[in-house]
Amino acid sequence: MDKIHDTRIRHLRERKLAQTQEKLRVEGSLDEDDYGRIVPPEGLWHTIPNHPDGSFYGYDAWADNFCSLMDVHPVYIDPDDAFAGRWMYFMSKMRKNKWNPAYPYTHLEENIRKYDIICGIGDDAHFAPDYEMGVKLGWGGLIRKIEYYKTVNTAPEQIHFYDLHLRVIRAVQGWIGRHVAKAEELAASETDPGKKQSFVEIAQTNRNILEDAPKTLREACQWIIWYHLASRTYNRDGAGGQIDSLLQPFYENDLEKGTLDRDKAVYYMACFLINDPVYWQLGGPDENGKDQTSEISFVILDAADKINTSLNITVRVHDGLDERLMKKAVEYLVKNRNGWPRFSGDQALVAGFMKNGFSKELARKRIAVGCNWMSLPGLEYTLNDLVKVNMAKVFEVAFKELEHRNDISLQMLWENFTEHLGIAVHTAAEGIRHHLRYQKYNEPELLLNLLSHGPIEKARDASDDGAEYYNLAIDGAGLAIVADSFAAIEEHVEGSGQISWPQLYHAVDSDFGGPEGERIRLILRKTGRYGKENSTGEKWALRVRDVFTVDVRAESEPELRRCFIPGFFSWANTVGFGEAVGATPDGRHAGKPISHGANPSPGFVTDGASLSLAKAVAKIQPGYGNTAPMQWELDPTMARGDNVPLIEGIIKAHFKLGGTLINVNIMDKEKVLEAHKDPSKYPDLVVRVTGFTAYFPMLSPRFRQLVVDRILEN
Amino acid sequence: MKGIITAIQRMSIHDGPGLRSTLFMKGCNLRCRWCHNPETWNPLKQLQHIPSRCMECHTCQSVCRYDVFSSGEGPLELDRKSCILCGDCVENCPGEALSIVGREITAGDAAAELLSDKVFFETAGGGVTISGGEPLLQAEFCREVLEICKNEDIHTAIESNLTGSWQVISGLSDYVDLWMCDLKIYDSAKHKEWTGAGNEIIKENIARLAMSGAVLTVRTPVIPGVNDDENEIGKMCEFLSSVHGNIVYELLPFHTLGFEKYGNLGMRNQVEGMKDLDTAVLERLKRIPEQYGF
Repeated sequence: MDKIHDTRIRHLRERKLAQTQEKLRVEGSLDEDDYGRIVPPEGLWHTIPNHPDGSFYGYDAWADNFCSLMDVHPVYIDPDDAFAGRWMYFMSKMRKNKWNPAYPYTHLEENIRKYDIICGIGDDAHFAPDYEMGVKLGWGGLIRKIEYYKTVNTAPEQIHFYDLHLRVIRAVQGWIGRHVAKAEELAASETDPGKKQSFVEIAQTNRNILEDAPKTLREACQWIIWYHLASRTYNRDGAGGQIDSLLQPFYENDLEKGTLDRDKAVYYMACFLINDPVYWQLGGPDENGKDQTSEISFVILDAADKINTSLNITVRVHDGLDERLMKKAVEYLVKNRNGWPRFSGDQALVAGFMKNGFSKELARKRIAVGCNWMSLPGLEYTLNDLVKVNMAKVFEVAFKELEHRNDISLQMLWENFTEHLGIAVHTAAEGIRHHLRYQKYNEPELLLNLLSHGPIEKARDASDDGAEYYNLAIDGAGLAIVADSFAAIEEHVEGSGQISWPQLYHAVDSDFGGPEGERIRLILRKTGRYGKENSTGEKWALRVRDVFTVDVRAESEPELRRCFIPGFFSWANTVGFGEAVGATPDGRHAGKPISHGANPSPGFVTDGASLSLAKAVAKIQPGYGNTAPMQWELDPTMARGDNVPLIEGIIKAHFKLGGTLINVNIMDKEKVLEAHKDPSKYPDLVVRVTGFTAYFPMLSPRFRQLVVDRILEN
Repeated sequence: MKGIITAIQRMSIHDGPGLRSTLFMKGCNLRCRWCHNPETWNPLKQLQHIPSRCMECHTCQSVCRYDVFSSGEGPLELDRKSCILCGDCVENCPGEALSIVGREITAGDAAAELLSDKVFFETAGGGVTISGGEPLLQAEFCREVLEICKNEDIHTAIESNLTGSWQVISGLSDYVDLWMCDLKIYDSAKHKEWTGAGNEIIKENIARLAMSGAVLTVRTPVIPGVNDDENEIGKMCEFLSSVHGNIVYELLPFHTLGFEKYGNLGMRNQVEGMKDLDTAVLERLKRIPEQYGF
């Protein structure tokens, strides 16, 4: 690579590291994505409340707040960076309250608490914009589209709806315009020829896309960045898209015109990726099944390798995938050990989504653009990764309720559990319905509406019937805890009789206290746990999966275009969910984290764990097009270059067996332990916590402990 | 037919090409003093006790009908001669400190277990390896397992000490894609001193196998103070060079990972105190096979 580009990328990496340190120093730890956000200047902007509780709600307030922020948002220009702009303000997190109190859900609160449900009411984004529409229309095109629909939908509230969206666009244009002016000013005063040229190019690139659609690779990337930064600022939206096919025409056109070479493209893409760890998909089939891999897919991977920070690139694995892309992806995974890329399984995702009544063509367009989630860019509203049922808590409720019954049996416990699970799932679905009814009065999607097909055409918010499809996600969490608890009772209470029911209750109630409690706990741990093939635990996991899937599916309302789709995922909630649950009959101590997503509890087998994991998680899929990811802690001794074909083989096998998404961590045990003790020692250590990657030192101590435990137990 | 095995190890990456499942047979006719799998020597089941897992709850003592276990103030003691391997203690041990090493299994069941990972062999390359102990001591069982694997189009390998008769070896060769064997020490008398048997038949079988067209990997475990010198490795290279055939030759470093097993099984470790092979020594010795074109 060109030495200048290499130097610039090195500078960008150093700056990124310093910015991460600054965030940690000023704002403290964060158990989430890195997001690419940087610390804002103190006191520059404050939210404008429109409610006595100090928060702001509804269309006008969101437009007012967003536009006022855009008017003063600091300009960010770096001569080493091909692109201008960084985001700084978590607008949605700056509110005092996230749900408009005018629309209470007291009728749901008791069950939400009882079953420890994350209900999603008032949550935002988590569906994908259609970037293709964005780069085709540009800001000017989007304005013309809105102006056109103003002549179609002419009711006063519809005109108002459009005017607010126009204000939002003009605010973003104003923000970009201030970058143009600043870049020109910097160019004028800069004496270093290299930097001067850099400022001139930044000014020109941004001037070109203020109104018009982008025409070059650099302009397209810069346009996507602006939309993305604005959307992140608005409500943390981080959905990506099919980045290679999106940028391919620009790349090829530039090459043909002779205005770009591969080296420069790698530099552009490195700058693009360091801007924000967005969830981009590479490869995979287009709607007709043709693989979307092209030269720019490799350019993007090479750029990712150059910057090698926190990244969330996903390779979509299907039968027709370019083998070279797969190989390159695994090589970088092993080489960098930074948790990227991830891999998603086309076969099961497409077949599953089609079971909802959709075509194969549409199913192929539903891509991996979020932490665990899939979305049809611009076409659906989903509440992906926002609604979760803590099944371990549901189990606890069912278990405790039967504590003093003399006629208690495993069958009775199962029936009680399924009854409570049904209520919990229904509560979650009711929460979603409540959200859909009132979210527009709480937090309309003024940014995502712009790149969706429907909201502008119909003058209705994406949350309010504006979108084309409503494929609503409900995820179950703590599957292994529940399955292993049932299995332990089957084997040791009702089976061998080694433990009586009263002994079990006493041990669980006392958190396995004392030598006798510990003895009972160890016996319970001797169970054939979920994750081991054909084990008692696996049998129970499949039963739980089946009931949960039926319960979620039963909430669908075809007449309202609402399709409820089950998945298994816990995101970063394993710690919080665990804190809400006492000791469980699988031998887990009170308050300890619940199992991760669809994963078995650590230590589930002593041999061939990776293969058992790949099989178990593939088998447990709910199977309707949402994921139940396999979180793979890959042994660092296996993660060597010469084992790339083997790792590739395990990934492919998981997808052949029905898997949907693989997140891989390759962590050196000693290094993680040292970093846990003294996070400042490894400021750039990246871990894939769950669907997202994060800088290890940015995580809170309890979360770092979770990562350490997971690695040690594996 | 039935065989006795110690374990089926999945996801093995050191027992042949690709990702493999390895079947460890129980029973061996050699007694290599440095062996890291002593549980494979005895062709019968054995009781294993792992003290680090014992929570000293004495459940084993209370359930045992044969007074195998005793303890005073100190750690648990086992009278193995009284043990009839009934498994009561294993069943009731909460900490999984007790286990029975050795499992009788039919060839069909063993093959089914091995082939349960077929999908990984297909996507990652690899297959099934039979190791030991000494597979040739249960040749008919191994043949049945291998035949089933070959019928499923799975790559097969055998790791043998090649002390068996040529008749036994040739009876298996139709079902084996890769033969793997050790040439531990060149001099037969020294070989006998350290392993319990001379090596004439091993050398003869290596030569015969190689010249029959079999694909063969020969390995030398490099043991500190036993064969870790240029002269010893050179002689083995000389011999293997004289054999015409498809031979890969590798050196494997001695390690102490199996030491704990001796005590757990009530066996005496004859090389206690021996250290892992120095990697510098291994790297130096590796140049010799390279010079011979291996």
